[in-house]
Amino acid sequence: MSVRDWISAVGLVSGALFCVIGAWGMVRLPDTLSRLQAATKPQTLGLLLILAGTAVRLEPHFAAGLVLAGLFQVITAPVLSQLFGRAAYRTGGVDRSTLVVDELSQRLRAGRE
Amino acid sequence: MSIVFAITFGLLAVAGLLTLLRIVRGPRTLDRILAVDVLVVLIVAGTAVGMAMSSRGIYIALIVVVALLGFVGTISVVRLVERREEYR
Amino acid sequence: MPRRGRHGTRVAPSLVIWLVIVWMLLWGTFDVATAVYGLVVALIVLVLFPLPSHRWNIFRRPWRLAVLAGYVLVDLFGSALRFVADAVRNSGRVSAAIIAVPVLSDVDHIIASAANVVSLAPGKFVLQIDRPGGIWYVYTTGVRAAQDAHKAYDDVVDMQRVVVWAFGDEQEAPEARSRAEEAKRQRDRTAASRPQEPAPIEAVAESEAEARGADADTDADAGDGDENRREDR
Repeated sequence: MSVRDWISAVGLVSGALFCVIGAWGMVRLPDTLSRLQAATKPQTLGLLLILAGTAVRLEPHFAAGLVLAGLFQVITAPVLSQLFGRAAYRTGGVDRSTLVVDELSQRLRAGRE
Repeated sequence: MSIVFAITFGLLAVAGLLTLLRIVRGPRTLDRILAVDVLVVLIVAGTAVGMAMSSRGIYIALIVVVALLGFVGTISVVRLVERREEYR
Repeated sequence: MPRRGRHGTRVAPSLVIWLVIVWMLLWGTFDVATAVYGLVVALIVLVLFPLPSHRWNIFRRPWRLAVLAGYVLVDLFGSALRFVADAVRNSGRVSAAIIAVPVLSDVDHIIASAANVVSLAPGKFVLQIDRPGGIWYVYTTGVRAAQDAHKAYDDVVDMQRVVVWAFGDEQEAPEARSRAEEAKRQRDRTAASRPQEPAPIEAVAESEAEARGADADTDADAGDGDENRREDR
């Protein structure tokens, strides 16, 4: 195995591990908001690692497309999580027992008094 | 190197199965949409690994398009669900 | 302080550069012909679908942009590992918080990019942006005691400072620094007046309960929590 193979192997396997961790979190965690964390963040990191692992094995001009895909993922993941988070909070996807502090609901309540 | 690809595909398959479990179990629509989105990311990752295996970049366009379409689709569905469930 | 860009159909050069780069990455070829076609496509797109013009040039300071990218990557790795460690140690039990954090900038695109940077870090995301009030409501996991919430607060403030430093213009960065210090001072004050271990909230936000027409059970809970909160004030 050459150096390039090693880099690729590390990227691929660690990326896949992060994907598994994210999926495991999706199954284990109790409410939509925490699942959202597991789903978007380790997934993003995992995909980036896998794309990097793939890119080193391809010709440079194919790797450019992978960079684009990774960039899209990094740009879209936070947008998605914000949208999901808001929707989940509004439609009651939050398990209140997991919250230690909720300054948003305090604020919502104060706003109506 | 082929054992690396085998391990990677295996791990991705496990992740996909776990995600499928979440799709089946729900319980809310949002959870299912989230799981489908994760599944799309896993498919993209799997396609990338496939390209690494063959060392040919034939699916680059597929990866970019699927990633973007997944994003747009998820956003529209989330907005729809949010609007429907908020006033229930 | 809010400086809004003039609204018009002027084609922003940074957007053109950005679209051409995307186009070239998409084709994977870096020659003159692709660049020219990309330029044509970018101009067509920008003329047909004009965006509100803004004076934001993301490539104005590539070095700071690179530092920001590095910061985000390190943060992504570090907090991914922390999130995993936390999830494994507590075997899937979550302890989270939604905290209010002041926004350090008045410029829309900086707020948006800072929110994205914060949301990219695992264990945190911006749940709600109160634009007129200048407050973010950030959801963070791994909060077990007041100290954790304070650390998350400081993290978010620091991240915002880096983003303003990278994207803002010359007078915004020092302004953001002073605001960050002010925010931390205020946080310390409220921390002193607050109980060290925040009591768990069993209350459901009434607005949601009303909107959903929740059953009597949760209503009783909400009333209970309300009483506690009034005593706190």
